[in-house]
Amino acid sequence: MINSIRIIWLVAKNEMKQMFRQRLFVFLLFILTICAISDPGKENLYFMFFVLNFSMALFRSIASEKESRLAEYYISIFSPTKLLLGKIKAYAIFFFVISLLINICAVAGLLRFVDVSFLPCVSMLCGWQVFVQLLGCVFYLSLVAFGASYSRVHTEMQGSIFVIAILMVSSYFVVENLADIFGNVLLCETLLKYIPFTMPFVKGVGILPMCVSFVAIIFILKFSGKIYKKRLFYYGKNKITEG
Amino acid sequence: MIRVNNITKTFAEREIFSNVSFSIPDAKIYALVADNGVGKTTLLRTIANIYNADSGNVVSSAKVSYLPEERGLPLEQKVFDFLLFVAQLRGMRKKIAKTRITDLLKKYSLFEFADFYIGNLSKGMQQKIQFLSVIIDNPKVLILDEPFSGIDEKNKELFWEELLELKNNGASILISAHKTDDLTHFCDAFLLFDGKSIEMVDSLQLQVEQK
Repeated sequence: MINSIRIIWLVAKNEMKQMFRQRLFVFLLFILTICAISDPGKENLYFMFFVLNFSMALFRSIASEKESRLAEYYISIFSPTKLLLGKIKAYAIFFFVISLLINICAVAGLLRFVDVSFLPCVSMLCGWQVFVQLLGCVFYLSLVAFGASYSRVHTEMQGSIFVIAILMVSSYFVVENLADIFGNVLLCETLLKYIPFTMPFVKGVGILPMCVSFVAIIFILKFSGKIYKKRLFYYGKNKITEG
Repeated sequence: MIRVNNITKTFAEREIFSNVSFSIPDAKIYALVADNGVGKTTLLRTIANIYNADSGNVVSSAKVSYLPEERGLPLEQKVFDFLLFVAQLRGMRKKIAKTRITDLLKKYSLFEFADFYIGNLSKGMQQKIQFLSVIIDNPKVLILDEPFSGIDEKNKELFWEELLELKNNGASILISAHKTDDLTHFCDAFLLFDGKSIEMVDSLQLQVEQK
């Protein structure tokens, strides 16, 4: 267990180092963070942009390791699930730090309009929202990891990212336009909380919906790990089925 | 020690090998010799637990260190950083790993390139780094898939020196190759693989037969 945590942390650290080398990625993150800080109240929209940005970086990282066959070397040392988990952890740390920064700025901005006595309550709500969105981010990234693990060729990988992006954008619009689409907003919100795709866009998410998302993440990552190992050597080759 | 017990592997309803068994004792170097396309790499991947065997099992006295045939390196990473990352993944402590990497880089005349990006190095240097990444933690069980393909004589000698040192420390080593010619002086035995069965031939016996 301790060794697994250690390996996941090492992979995450390595991934973070790789991320900092991609100047465009860091520049985009910086611009997005500035935009999100200066435009509070649109956290769902920025959540989507951040996750799309991280998805592309994760996709590129998995694809390059599969293409260069570096992945074969890594999975001879540790399991593919740990590799994927480590990579996702790196992006989750980035997201957490940025999300925390945005929420601190939002709370500081709110202080101009509300009484200081509300500060603990507002901070708690914002803090909780950070965790909800963090879980949502990890969920979408694990879907990306699954898509990248399953794909045999680069175009297939791009296709899987496209499908995940559509799922995320449609989830965002469904939640944003809840009142227009469905009659009973409260009932729909309660239902959408339990769907991991829409969970990060819904406000006031409790512990139970978060547990549902958490279980979904574990299931997807376990399955991705198995698929990654099986499909690694089919990358760039014609269709072969393992007996 | 590594013991392979009746392993079978099938791809797309085609049996690559079936009921393959052999064992490599401690402090021995064995060579797996077979023609192209027979299934050497698949067999090695199965032993290294990258592929799951359809039946049978592999028992190893220690974690298997494996050097794949298609060797990838992170070209955007620095030499020292990559080796440190690998050493830590293999369970070495950071401080010990740093000392070991420095020693190895000096030994293989790569120390001045420690801060270079791997992508900026020559192919020969990259092959040395790949080899170092596998032997960094003095493994007890080592599997090398065609480690000498594309390596010049000078580096071959260095690699052998390292492998013999590992052998003297008690490691079990399995090397795959196309032919026995270059290996007779270093390997203790040969596993001649024809895709169906494995025949074990002693190195001395093979040398006599060749003469």
